[in-house]
Amino acid sequence: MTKGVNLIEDETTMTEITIQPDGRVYIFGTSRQVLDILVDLDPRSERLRRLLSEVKRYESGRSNGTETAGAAATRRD
Amino acid sequence: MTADWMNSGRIENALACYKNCALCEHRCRVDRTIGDIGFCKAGNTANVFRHRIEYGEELELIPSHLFYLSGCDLRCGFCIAGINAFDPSRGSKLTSGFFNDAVRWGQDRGARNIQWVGGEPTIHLPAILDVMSRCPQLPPVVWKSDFYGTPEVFELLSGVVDVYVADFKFGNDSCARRLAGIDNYLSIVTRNLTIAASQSKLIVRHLLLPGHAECCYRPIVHWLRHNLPSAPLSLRDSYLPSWRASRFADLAHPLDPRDGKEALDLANRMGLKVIQ
Repeated sequence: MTKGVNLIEDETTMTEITIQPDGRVYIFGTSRQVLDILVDLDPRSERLRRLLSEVKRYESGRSNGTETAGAAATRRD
Repeated sequence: MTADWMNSGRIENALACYKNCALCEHRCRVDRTIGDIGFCKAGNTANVFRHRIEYGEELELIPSHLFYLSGCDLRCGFCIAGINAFDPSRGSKLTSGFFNDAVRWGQDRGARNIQWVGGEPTIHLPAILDVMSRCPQLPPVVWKSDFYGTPEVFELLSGVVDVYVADFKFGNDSCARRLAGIDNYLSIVTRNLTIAASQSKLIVRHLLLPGHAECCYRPIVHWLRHNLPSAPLSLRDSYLPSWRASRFADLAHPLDPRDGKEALDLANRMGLKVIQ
């Protein structure tokens, strides 16, 4: 890691989870690892499954060289 | 390849904005280069208080490398960023060296884009354009904003931003004044939404606030239906009281889950494209 990036701590692996008295779970800042765990905990959650599916699709594209970082859905064309 | 916007004198024009600041609609007209401060209290240094790759945002954006800048032109009593949003001295100076290293770091880890968030990035637009113009391989740019900027800001952002993410917070001026301390909210934000939609892809976010279904959410849905019916609406039902929300009786408790369901039903009935 370069000096510049060390200057400011990245918080990619941090996720804040709040559980309300009524059982609702709030998640702020979702890491890749937490996304995996959440899908395991709540496999019926359509939103979580969509998120993980999209991340895996993107990761697969990157490793196959068919999709580079910075391309895909944020392209304007 | 160098983007056109980097060669057009835009950086110089943007940096000149610090001397007579009208980046947001407070239009304080202060000279931020000599230490004068306006509503946001920011000088001419942008500070990053956090950066991270986020996997829980809209599908179109993830994985997204978020850069959080301190300082804001709003004073939302329920702000989740709290003091980091309102104290522009928080964090470390945004420099070209840091930014280039961070971008490379994010790309190595699979980030699809960079995303400027806050606080509010608008008040730091000159510094942001400056570092982006020096970045050898700039990823697609996502601009997440409260949309309280001036038209001059959107002119500077034209051709730079790939996706705008607009935080459409309030559906009327009265709630905006009471909860965020700003005037003329609705006309300013709706003007800017129209501009942004003409420039780039636009995602409209709305955080459902407890007790604000009729005064805020419904007018927003109606405006979108009549003005930007194809803009994706990212509906957030995850409100929790933060910062000084306890000072407002209506915001001192979480959203009733039934309100989230009703909000979704309304957006669907109106034919809006709701995304998560």
